[in-house]
Amino acid sequence: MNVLIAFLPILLIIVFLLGIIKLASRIRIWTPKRTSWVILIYFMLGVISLIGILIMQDKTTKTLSKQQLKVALEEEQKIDELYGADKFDQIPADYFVFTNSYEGTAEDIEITLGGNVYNTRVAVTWNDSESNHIIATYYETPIIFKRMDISKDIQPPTIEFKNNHFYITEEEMQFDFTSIQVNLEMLKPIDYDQMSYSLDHFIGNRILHLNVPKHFNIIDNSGWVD
Amino acid sequence: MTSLNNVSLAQNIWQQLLWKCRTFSSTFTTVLIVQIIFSVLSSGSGSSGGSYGSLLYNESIYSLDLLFIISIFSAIMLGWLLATQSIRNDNYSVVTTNFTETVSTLLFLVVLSIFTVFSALSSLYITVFTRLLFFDQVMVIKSALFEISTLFIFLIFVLIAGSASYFAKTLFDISKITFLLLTIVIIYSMQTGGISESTFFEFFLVQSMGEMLGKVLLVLTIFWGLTIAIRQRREVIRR
Repeated sequence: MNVLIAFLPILLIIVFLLGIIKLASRIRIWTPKRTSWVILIYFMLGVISLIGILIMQDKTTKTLSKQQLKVALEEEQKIDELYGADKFDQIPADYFVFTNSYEGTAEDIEITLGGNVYNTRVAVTWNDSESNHIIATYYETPIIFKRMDISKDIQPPTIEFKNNHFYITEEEMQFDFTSIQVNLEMLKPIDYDQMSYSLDHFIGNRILHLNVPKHFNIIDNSGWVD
Repeated sequence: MTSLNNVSLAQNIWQQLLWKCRTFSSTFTTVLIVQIIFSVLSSGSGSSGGSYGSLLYNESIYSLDLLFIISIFSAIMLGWLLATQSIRNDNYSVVTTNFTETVSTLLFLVVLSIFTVFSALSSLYITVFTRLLFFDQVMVIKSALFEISTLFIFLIFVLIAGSASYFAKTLFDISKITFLLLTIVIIYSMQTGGISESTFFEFFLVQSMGEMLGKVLLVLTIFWGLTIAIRQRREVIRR
């Protein structure tokens, strides 16, 4: 008996479905006229949705244009050159973020970069000063990732100085987004050329410059310090 | 042609096209329902994620890709079905010859392809718009919202898929051996010659618009011409 009660809902559903199928076969729902109306309404809905997407600008953002990306890429390369030539004083003031001073007490200063420090580059230059102050200056150009300007969301790296040891880490950032592409991405040939790769990925410089008096000794634990 | 009135060829084809649009109106709803189901069930076309140092990202993409694949498959299916004997027998319920029957069916495939493209576009817009309405998340628009070139490429591939499948079924009906051999040759060349679907897409997707159009027209002419030729032949050898 219990088994019968358990199967009752399933039986009811089957009977209901059979009834619907029987009924549906009697009434022709998709007559040509109704079909054309449905199609027309669907296309109208599509047009309304397109207008809706265009109107709701507070909920949509556009990616940067190729021209803007190229400008940013050129700027990045310019800063790269300055970085390579150790001309930190020539980096435009717009990109200056902060400067800190740390006092070293021992001759050996260690630097450890966190495992996830990938974008921030650390460079050491020497000065003739007799003081024990190490000046850390951080520069950041606008950060563009996947053709979007995410400078506002990016946090500067954290610098910890303990017992003559620098620990430099980047704060991990989760970046979730939804994108609309009204095109056939799958048919686009994959561009292996460096230019478009850079345009689609990461553009921007994050530079940490340590100006160290000559009488200190820098021990680079990670091998990434320039 | 057995007709009481004197009807020109173009008129006959046009009348049959209209008749087919009415009779096979269920093909439109089939395409529409399949597209709606896939748009609702899938959350976008896909997602990609990764990390760039300390930067972890997760991207959900709403694009035409999924709808494109579905449209290709439905075009292949409907192209095959339109060439089946039962539907072709239906087609003889109006005044026709084999030639006008085939031509009007091919034109019906064109209408169906155009419909498929626009309904795919509508489906994408509607999905994105409902998402914008009900989810509080900013969406990134990565391309123009309306691109003629995209729609054109969409259209030609759906049309080629439909025509190829219509031709395949026609060939299958006339000579199963030829069909089998052709299938084996195609599969063999795909296995050994490194030919894949992308080779097929790359063949058409060339930089110059004129060259692309030429290739498309050439392929369509081959498919359509062969289909019409085979159908004409069947009229002669009827037993």
